[in-house]
Amino acid sequence: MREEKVTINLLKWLESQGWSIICHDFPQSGTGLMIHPNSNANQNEKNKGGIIPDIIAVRNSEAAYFENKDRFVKSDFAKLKEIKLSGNYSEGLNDLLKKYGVTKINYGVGIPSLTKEIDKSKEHLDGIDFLVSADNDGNIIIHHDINRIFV
Amino acid sequence: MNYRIWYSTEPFADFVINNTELKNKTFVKKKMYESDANNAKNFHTMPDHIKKILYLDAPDLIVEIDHEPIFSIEVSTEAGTGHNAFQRFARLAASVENNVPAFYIYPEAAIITRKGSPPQWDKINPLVFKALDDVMSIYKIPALLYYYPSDFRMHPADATTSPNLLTKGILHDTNRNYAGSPLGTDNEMLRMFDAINEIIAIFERTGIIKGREKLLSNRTLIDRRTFMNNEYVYKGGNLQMSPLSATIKVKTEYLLNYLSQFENQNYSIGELLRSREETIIYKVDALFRGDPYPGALAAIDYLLCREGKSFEERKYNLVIAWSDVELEDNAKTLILNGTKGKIDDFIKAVQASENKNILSKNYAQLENHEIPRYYMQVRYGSTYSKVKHVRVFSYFADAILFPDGSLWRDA
Repeated sequence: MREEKVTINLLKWLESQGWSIICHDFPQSGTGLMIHPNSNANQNEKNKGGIIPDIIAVRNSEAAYFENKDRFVKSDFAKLKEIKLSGNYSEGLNDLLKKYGVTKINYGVGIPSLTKEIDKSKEHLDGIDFLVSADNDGNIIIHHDINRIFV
Repeated sequence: MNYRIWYSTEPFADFVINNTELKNKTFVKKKMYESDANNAKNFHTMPDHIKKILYLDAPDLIVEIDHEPIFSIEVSTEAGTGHNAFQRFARLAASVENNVPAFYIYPEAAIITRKGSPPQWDKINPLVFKALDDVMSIYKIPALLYYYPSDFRMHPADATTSPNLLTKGILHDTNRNYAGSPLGTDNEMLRMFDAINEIIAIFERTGIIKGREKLLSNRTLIDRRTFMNNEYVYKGGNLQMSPLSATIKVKTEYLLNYLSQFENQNYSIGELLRSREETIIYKVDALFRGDPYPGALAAIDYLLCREGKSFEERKYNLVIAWSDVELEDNAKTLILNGTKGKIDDFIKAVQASENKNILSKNYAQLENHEIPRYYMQVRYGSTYSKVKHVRVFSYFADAILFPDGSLWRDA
């Protein structure tokens, strides 16, 4: 399953669960919204440019920030951990979400429902808040949801 | 008739299929792999006639009937000021150079927020309409622009009043199955679907060869061409706009005198450059790089130089100079006094592409899955494995000048 299909299936599922989609992106879609680093961000190789979230959705006071792929990609987990812990994009993210009354942003990964990819992903959960997977029929499985935002 | 629909993103393919007569046809959808440079694993699996279209650059969608491409679509949501409107022009060229009608979906305006300024509309450079019309005159093949839906016409004076600031004022389809596609109910998209249906009907009724001849006399397509010409005038289009504002026309004698530094007893510049009295020079005083310059160079060719379907059929030589250019009238030569453009940057880009080739491997070193790719490269060399901007520059430019080195065609 391609990344675009993972993202589309997640968009449909999120909306069915009452989430509002703020932005989304997948390769060559042209829909992405770039979040620039804070003006005082510690510039290094990981954050010298902007980031384009694959999905940002909000429900109640929670926001979910998705990085999606067609397989397990270790660097995505490291990237999310960096974004979450460094706060280097907090200005842009807060500016984007201020009118939705969001009090917490949760960072996580979306991948296809393939056992091999899920098993590898589960070995790298320490830096992220959630891990979900999608199959071709649009079924979504929640593997990890530390703040129970998808309940 | 069997249709094949080659796509970059499947949601956009579904968007086009389900909004046109394609939905009633027998078709298969296929993922398109753009080049050997960016997808070494899969590009060699593309059919030869599709590879030819992809040689310059890859459109977002190609539709074919029984292995004959009948149209392509390129989509962009970028703001189209200055050079930017031409950034994707090589993709249109890729299509029409192979006699395949091209659709270009591009916003009339998009909202840009610059640091310290309120959001504002960046409007399309109307010269793109003239370039497309010249393409149609040269190839006798439709190259039609439809506006990517936006709320520009609802909020033209003040972008901050747009309810779609987050999407730059751009309107996407709300059906998630078409994520990333234009709003299908917008009038511009409805007109494009009509044109696509007309093209399908013409090709089905008269066949590919005769169909191509009939397209530009179809009333729906004539009306669109008229609309585009009106937009060029209404939006104040003129030949002093970017990228033409970065060009100069010189006597070819100046170019030949400049290149004479490379001549010696054993070599003199060949006949191609000498065959045209005058030369258009596109001045790019910047570090050597790709976008938006490859597309702009292609557009300049159609706007100023071309007289026929082949790049050999030009009224003027087309040269890109990675420098500012001054004329030295006493010696009748050129002075390139830029400091950014370096010939080695071009050479390094070529070498980096060449490193991806596998022709220097022994047979025993080839993995089984590499053999078809190896065999493709035996036939085509590095044709498809060079990066896009190197492919486009070397296709369109009769010469490429840097302050510290030059490349040129002899024939």
